Amino acid sequence: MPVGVIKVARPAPTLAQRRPWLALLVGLWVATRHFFQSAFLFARGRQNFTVHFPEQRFLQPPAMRGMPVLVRMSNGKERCVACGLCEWACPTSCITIFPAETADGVERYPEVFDIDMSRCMFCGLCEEACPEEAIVMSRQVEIACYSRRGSLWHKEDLLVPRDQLQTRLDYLHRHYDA
Amino acid sequence: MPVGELHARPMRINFGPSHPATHGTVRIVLDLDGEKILNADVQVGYLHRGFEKECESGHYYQNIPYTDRLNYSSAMLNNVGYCLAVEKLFGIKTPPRCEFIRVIAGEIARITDHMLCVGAMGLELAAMTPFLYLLEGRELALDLLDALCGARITTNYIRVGGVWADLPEGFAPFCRERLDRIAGLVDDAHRMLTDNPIFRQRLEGTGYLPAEELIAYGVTGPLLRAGGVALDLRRVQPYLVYGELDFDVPVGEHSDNYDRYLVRLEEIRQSRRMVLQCLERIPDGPVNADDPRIRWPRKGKVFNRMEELIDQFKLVTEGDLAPAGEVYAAVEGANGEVGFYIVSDGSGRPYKCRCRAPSFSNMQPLARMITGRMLADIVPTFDLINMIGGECDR
Ligand code: SF4
Ligand code: SF4
Repeated sequence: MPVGVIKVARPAPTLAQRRPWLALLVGLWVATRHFFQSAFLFARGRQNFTVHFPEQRFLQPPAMRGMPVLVRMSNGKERCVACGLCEWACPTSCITIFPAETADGVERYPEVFDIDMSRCMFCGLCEEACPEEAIVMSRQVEIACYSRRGSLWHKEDLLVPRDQLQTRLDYLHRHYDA
Repeated sequence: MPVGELHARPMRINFGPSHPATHGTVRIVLDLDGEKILNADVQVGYLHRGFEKECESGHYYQNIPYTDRLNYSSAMLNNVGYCLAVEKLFGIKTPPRCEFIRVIAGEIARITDHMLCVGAMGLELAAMTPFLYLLEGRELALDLLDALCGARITTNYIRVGGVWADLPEGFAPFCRERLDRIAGLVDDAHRMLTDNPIFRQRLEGTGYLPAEELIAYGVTGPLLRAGGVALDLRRVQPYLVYGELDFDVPVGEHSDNYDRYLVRLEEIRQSRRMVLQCLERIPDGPVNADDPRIRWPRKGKVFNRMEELIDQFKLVTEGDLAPAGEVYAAVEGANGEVGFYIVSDGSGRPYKCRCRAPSFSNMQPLARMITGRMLADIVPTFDLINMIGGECDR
C-alpha cells in the first residue's frame, strides 16, 4: 500500500492570534471542562484518573512483573532444585546459589539462594529460564530498605507459598502449555 | 574585548548538566552577549553506561533488557530494533501474528514518547495544563504496555524470533477504549497550544536549520521530516507489516520548532491509526518462530520431556549460536533511525554490538540552531530535538 505524505498544516493566524484574550478563553474552556468532568466523577465516588496511593492501589494486570520470588510447595520446601539456570540467564548476575544434596526425591536443593535486589531489574529472564517453575515474578514491588544489607534477599525471605502466586502461575500456564 | 551593543565582555554560563530543562543530562556552555548567544558548546556523555561494551559480555537474549535503557521513553522500539538485527543475523522470519504484535507494541511506545516530548516542552514554556493532559494520556498508553508485558517502562517484551507472550485476553477492546481517550486528550492539548499566540511566538522561526544541513549532520526522525524530507523508514524501507498498513507520513516545510511540534502531534494520530488497523487485521497463529536454534522450547514440554529440557539447558547456558558475520538493521524509532550493527564470531555472544542512536546525531546541529539566537530559544529547540540521555550517551 503506498504510504502518503501529508504536509502538516500551519494554521493561518486566526482570530485568536490577533486577539490574545480569545486564546485565553479557549484554554479556560478546555480546563473548565476537565475540571467539571473530574468533579462529576468524584462526586459519584469514582476518580477519573488519580490513584490515592497507599490507600488505593493500581489495578495490576495479570502480566505484572514484580520482584522474583521462590515458590514454596505445600510441604514447606522450595521447588527449586538448584540447577543454576536462572543464575546463568540473569543478565546482571544478581543470583547466587550454593547447591547441596538431600535425601529427598529431588536429590538437590539450594543451601543458599540469594538475590541482590539492588541489582535485579525485574526483567523476568530467570523465570523464563527456570525448568521447574520454581522462581516466578511476584506482584511485590515495595521493597525499599534502609541499608545495603537489606537489599540482599535470602532464601527464607524469598519463599512464598504457591497459592499466593496463583495469578502469575495461571498467566504463565496460558502461554507455556499452548 | 567588548562586543555587541552593550559594550560588555561576553558572559560564559553553563546550561546544565543538571538544569531542569535538560532532562537527560547534557551541558551547554554558552557565551552570551546580553541575551544573545554568541557561542554554544554542547557537551554530551554524562549518562554513558557502556551499553555497547556490556553487550559483548551477554548472550543475545540477555542484551534485550539493556536495550530498554537506551531510549527509555519508548523502550519497545529499541527491543524491536535489536531483535530484528539479531534475526537478520540468524536469517529467520517471524510469523505474521508476531509482526503485528510488534507493530502494535512499537506504535504504542511511539505515542508515549511523542506525548512526553510535547508535554515536557509545553511545561518548560510554562504551559502546565497541556502537560498534565498529555502525561495522563501517556499513563493510559503505559497501561496498555503494562497489560501486554507486565512492565510500564522497561518492557523486555520482544524476543529474538518472537515475543515473550501473546496479547492478553480482551486486549483489543481495552486498546481501542484507551486510544480514544488518548486522542481526546491530545486534541485538548492541541486546542490549548497550537493556536496560542504566546506559544506560537516562541516556536515559530526558532531553531531553524535548512534541510540540507540537517541531512549533512545525519539527522533523522521528526526533526528531519519537519524540514520537508519525507524520510521515514516505515515508508522508504518497510519492515514488519508497515508495508500493508495505510498511514501518512507528516512533513513540515519551515524546518522550525513549530513544524517539529506539529509533526509530532500528527504522528501520534497516525500511530493511533496504525494500531487500530493492526487490531482489525491481526491474524491468529503462533507468536514465536518455530526455530529450535533460537526460541526456547515451550515450558509445557520442558517440564515433561528430556529432549526439550536438554535444549533449554543448552540455549540458556550457551546462548543462541549465531552464524559468523555482520548485519545492520534499523527501525524508525520515536526520534529517528534506531539501528543496531552486530558483528558475530559464531559464539553465543555478539563480538561487537554498535547502536546507531538517533539522539546522538540529532544533537549535533543544536549549536548551529541556537547560535546567534536568544537564550530563551534554547529550551524549545532542545526539547523538540528530544534528546534522551540514555540513548545519546548509551
Ligand atoms: S528478574 Fe532479571 S535481573 Fe532479576 S534476578 Fe531475574 S534475571 Fe536477574
Ligand atoms: S532455574 Fe529454577 S530450579 Fe534452577 S536454580 Fe533457578 S530457581 Fe532453582
